[in-house]
Amino acid sequence: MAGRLASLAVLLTSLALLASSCGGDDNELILGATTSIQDTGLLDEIVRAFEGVTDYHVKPSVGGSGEVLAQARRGELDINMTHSPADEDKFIADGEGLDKRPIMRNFFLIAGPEADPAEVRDAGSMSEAFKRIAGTQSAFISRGDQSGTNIRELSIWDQLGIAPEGQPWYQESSTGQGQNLVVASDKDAYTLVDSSTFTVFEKRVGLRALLTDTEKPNVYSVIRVASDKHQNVNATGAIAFAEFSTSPAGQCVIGDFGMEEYGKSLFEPAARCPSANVGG
Amino acid sequence: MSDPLLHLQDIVVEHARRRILEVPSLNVLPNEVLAVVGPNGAGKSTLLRVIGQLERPSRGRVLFGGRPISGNPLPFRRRMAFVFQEPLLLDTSVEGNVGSGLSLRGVPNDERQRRVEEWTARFGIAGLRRRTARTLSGGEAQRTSLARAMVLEPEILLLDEPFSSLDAPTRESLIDDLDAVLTTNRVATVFVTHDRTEALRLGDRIAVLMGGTVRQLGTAAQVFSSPIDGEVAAFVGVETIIPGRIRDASRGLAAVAVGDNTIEAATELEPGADVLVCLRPEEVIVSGLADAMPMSARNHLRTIVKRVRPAGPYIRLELEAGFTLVAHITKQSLEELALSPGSNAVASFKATAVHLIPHRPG
Amino acid sequence: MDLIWDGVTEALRLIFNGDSYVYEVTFTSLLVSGSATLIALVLGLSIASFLAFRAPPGRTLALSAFNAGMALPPVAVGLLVSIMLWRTGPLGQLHLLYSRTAIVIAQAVIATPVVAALSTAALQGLNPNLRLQVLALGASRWQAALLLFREARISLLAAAMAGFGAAISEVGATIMVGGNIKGSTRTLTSAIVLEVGQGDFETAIALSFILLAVILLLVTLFTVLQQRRPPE
Repeated sequence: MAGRLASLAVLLTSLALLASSCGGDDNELILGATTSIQDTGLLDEIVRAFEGVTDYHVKPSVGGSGEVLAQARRGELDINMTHSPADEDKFIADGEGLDKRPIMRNFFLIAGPEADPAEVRDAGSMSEAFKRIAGTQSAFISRGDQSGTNIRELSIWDQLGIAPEGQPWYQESSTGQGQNLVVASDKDAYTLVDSSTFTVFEKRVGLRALLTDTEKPNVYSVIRVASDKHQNVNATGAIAFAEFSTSPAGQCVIGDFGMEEYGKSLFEPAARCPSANVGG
Repeated sequence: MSDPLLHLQDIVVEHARRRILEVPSLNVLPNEVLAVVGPNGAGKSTLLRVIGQLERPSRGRVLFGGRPISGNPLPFRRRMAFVFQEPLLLDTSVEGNVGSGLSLRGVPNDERQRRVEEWTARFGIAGLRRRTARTLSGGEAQRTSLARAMVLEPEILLLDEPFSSLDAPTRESLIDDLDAVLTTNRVATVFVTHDRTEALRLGDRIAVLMGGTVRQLGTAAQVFSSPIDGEVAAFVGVETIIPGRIRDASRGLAAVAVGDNTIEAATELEPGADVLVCLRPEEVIVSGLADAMPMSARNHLRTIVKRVRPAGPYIRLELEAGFTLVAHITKQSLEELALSPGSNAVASFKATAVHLIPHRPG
Repeated sequence: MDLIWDGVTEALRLIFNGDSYVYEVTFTSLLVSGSATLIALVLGLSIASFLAFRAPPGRTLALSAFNAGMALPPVAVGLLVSIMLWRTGPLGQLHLLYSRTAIVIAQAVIATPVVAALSTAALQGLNPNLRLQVLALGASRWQAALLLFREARISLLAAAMAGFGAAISEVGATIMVGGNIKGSTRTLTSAIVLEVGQGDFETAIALSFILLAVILLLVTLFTVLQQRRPPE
């Protein structure tokens, strides 16, 4: 009996394998992407467009920039879309990745309560704004997850010589970009957020965009994972995706994204797309 | 005598190193009802499971029709039928239950239908065919279980205490019906019971199983009137078992010294032999001191009544005669004799009612 | 509260307007969790039959393991299955990560201890002599197992429902090994997580109601099956 049941189990498993028919093929491309790309909905769009013009099946693996790069270092990914320049440069310097191409950007901004107790609105610069928040001990929510946003935030504190961890006014949400915004809104706190995510969530949270950092834009790049270091990496697929995402067609997908729902592009393509009405 | 249908050879069953059953040789003959009696824990059910191929013995083998059973037991199981103490019905209708063994054997629908109808009728449950088994009374359920076994037309029928969980009237009528069925449809049957009267009613031969071994095997008359040792005697209903020694013996009649008394017994044993004197309680006639004693009895002992206690349809008397002697009398006799603890009474019994078992005093 | 009410309206709208996205993720959920439950049933019932009928040495230990397995953290399962299926993992060559099959495997791992533990209890609840009686009636081991499953069907269906519930409501491992890919591995639960991440709470609540409705529908079906009178 046990033998027959076991063979039945094997049979069923094979049926399940067949049913899902996602068995191994050279056309599979594993794309590491950050939460802001998924949470805005751009990821689905760009994947659909890419799959429409090639035979590749894209399998996105979504996480913060830190997590994505760590996976890539294990050779689990073919290509990354991240926005953490310092980590990306180290990733390339370590020989783990190559062929970095900027594809789009948005801007970091400080979102906070309408009342703005720390007077961030007229701080003039990011570092001044952060100094005021720390000075007034106003509540601040950090992603706390080694994402691109988190790393940018930490670098600002670092420049100021402030160590906010452990302070009663400083909390880490450990959630994605969107959720983090919801948490900050709930607590009437300040937070650092990218402009795209803020646009999507603007209607749902009680926070205002108080100060946008126009000096240092938040740049998203694709980086191929080094195929000479990781033998399983699908190099041709990665090249195809890099080419597509920087091509006029790919750039227009980015440029058009958000026009319909928000009346403006959520991300600013690296190269101009003729139809895009690029906003700040 | 014909060849045995089933033969147990050097069977030993051990559970956790403890010997449960040890049967060097046991035959089941064609068409006979072999009643296996014994107290609880004697190994009766184990014996039946070994025969029914539901338990592998630690050693030994079972021969069915002269061929040893080996390999897959299923084909052999399918030539037998088993009825347990509990009805163990499946959660379906009565006819679904009765037909279940036939379904498992792939018997075609119409034949199954025909046989189910026949056997439900034979066991008086034809009217219950469409009932759900869960709603049956205990007696109806056990009838269903018996019909489910007999419908298979087995070569060997194995019955494991099938009447024990039934109340007395239900049991009586079911035993009668099974007796009738087994009389018309002769089938080799092994009938396990702890109730000696059931064994007496249905058994052609009786095997007494005690402590995992067959102590005695013979006809009902042999086992009940001539138990082979004290334990068997006690189990088959001999309530007076006392050690004694044969003083004189001539022409099949012996005088046996039991304490201060002398008892006459029919025996072929020699003088000087140490024996157990066995006497069934129903063989003892009790009378008052002044009453006329029964002339046919050779033994008359003066006794004092020690205890009086009802035992089923009888009254059980314990009488002190230098040893304890047990007698069964009717309620009516008890009232006529006006016996109570302390009264004097005479116990009489025939020399042929006494059974002597050779016994080395331990 | 408005959000919940809007969610219900949105759910009804999505269902009755035949929104293809909703149907697609619902189909994926049913396919994936159905397959996982089927595998969990086969494995769980085999394990339960072995533990209940053969009473192997160490049964109590095995049972404790499966009982503890009912509380197996799905995220840990997801991580373990991920590591197995990683390109650099032992099963990497199968290219199963981020596929429906990967979700089926993870959910089956989560549902199997549930089915095994509850089924063992169900089979142990049967009269131990019933198995002997069934074998004595001439059942092969296979027939005996089926007959006994039938006798314990009420409890076994409960085990199946619990297993299916564990599979279809699971999300942590599902996203970890499945990757939440639109049109392939996006299930009802991972779609809900995504909608929450995108701040579209209305759709998230609507999808939650659809998930509840699907579970309710299936469990009702199971329960009707369970409570049905046995056939004559």
